[in-house]
Amino acid sequence: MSIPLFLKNIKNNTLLLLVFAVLMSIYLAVIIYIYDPSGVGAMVDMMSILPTALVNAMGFGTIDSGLTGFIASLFYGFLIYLFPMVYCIILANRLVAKWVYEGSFTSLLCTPNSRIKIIVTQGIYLLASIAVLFTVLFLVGYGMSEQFFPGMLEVKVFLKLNIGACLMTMTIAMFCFFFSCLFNSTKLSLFFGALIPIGFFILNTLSKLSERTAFLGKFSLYNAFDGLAIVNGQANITLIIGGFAIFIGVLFVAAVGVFSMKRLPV
Amino acid sequence: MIELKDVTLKYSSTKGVFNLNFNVEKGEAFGYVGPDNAGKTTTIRMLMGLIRPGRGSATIDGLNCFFRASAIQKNLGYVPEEVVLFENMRVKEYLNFITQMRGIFGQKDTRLRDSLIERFEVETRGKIENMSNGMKKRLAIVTALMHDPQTLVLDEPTSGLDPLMQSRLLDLVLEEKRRGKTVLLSTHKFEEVERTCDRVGVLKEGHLVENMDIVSLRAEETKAYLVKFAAPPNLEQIKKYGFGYLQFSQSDYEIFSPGDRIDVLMKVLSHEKVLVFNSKNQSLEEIFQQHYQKEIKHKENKKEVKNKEVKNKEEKPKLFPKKEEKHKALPDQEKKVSEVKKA
Repeated sequence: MSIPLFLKNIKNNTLLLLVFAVLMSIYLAVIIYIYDPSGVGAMVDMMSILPTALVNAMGFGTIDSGLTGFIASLFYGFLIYLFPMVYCIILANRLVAKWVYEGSFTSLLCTPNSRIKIIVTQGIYLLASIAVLFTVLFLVGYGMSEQFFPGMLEVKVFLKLNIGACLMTMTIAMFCFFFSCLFNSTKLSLFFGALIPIGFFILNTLSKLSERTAFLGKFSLYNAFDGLAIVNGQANITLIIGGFAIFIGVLFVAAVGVFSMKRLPV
Repeated sequence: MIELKDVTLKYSSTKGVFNLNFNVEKGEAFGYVGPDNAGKTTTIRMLMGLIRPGRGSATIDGLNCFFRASAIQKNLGYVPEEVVLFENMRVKEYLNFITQMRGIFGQKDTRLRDSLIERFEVETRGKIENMSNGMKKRLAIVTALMHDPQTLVLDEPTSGLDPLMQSRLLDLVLEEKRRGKTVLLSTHKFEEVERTCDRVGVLKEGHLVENMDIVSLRAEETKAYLVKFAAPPNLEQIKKYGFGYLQFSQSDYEIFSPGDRIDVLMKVLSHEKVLVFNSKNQSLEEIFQQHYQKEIKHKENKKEVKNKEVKNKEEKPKLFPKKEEKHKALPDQEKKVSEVKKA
């Protein structure tokens, strides 16, 4: 890993991270703030106005009465797919394809650093920034819960929830990163980098619409992470973590391999 | 030392580079010339390890250019044709960043860097995005040379520079060459090669059509002299020794001599009363043109033998299309000479 390059990445992309961290934190904070420990009646009432299919699709179908479950269904059921997805698409493209396309990547390769070293640095930054994003979310969630509802948050479960979501996001990020390494133009990098996660997202949403579309979920990576199942203890968190970790590893190696052998544009 | 063996990279059947073979020895400056789109930048990008050759191998100091690029870069300075830097960085910041990327941290010796900044008058305040293209090029030159590399690969380094800076850069190339550096200078300006290089390779449509040293290239040149005689000269004598001439008036002549027979011409002229003797200097470009004409004619002759119906005046591969006119002057001159003779 190249330290100066890593520092440069931090300098270049902190604003982007900050925007997403702040947006998601505000959202999470508001969700915790509106929690009513005496019952989720108001929320259920509100949901009943909307069509059931839509509510299901958004993952708000079952609302757990506990604080952790409430957060899991409202935040880790739907939004956790969308916001980080956009972040991954933008950042993965910025880290490799954009510089290659503009031509400034050449100045990196004209230093005594191998392609592998440089691309590994970019990949590590991508993963690290996602880890930071979820650390912030965990701390905000924990802080807000302790502030308004002391002792009500199941910290361990909430931590598992964040780790699971974090790894899922990293996997998505690695898909985008792979395409960013594969293509020499931002157009293609962005197209495929967005196509895959959005495809997963659509399949996931459709699978929740009805029983007949449930099979579509099998093709979506997002189905591997189910916030409520983690809260209920139905999901095997080690299996989820292991599965995502393997995905991340394979995609990272593939991205580095593709990049180290490719011909950069003239 | 730069070495290319059978390097081929096909983009299409006519685009790319084909079977490139040449060496640039240590302490030698190699001029790599050719028209646009000939494949100069492609070759250089291969040397930089940015593109993998389809076939053959390119090495610098014995290291494979693609697989050992990072080891090569330790001792290499590269000025790209089109400079793209990190636009949002400040100049000092960029220079520091590249220095750090080269693995030099903390207290460092910046004397060479500072002298280069001074020499090329690089504005170090402000952001890169606000700089002119010429200034970016100068910054790229400083970046390429600030670690005192052994090998210099310069891809049209003078394009975008003002004449003063061009001159300073060429001086620098000469200095570096004298210090034993290996230099590959790609350009389409012949005077740059003439001024700095020992050897020249001509690339055309992806093929290296010429690789020779400047001295022997000069020998092939036809020199032209403007001579003014006090009395009508003995033209028979001049003709007898194989020199062509053009008569302007009773006493003014232009006499042509091959580059390696000037001494003979001197002897012949020593019997005449010469008032003025001016050499009409030909640039390398003109020499190349002549050189090319020979080759092309040669090829044409072959073709005509094979297929007499082919009238391929227009199919002539054009090396320097714009400059063709100059070139045609020569056969015309010959005509004039013969006309004069008839008269």
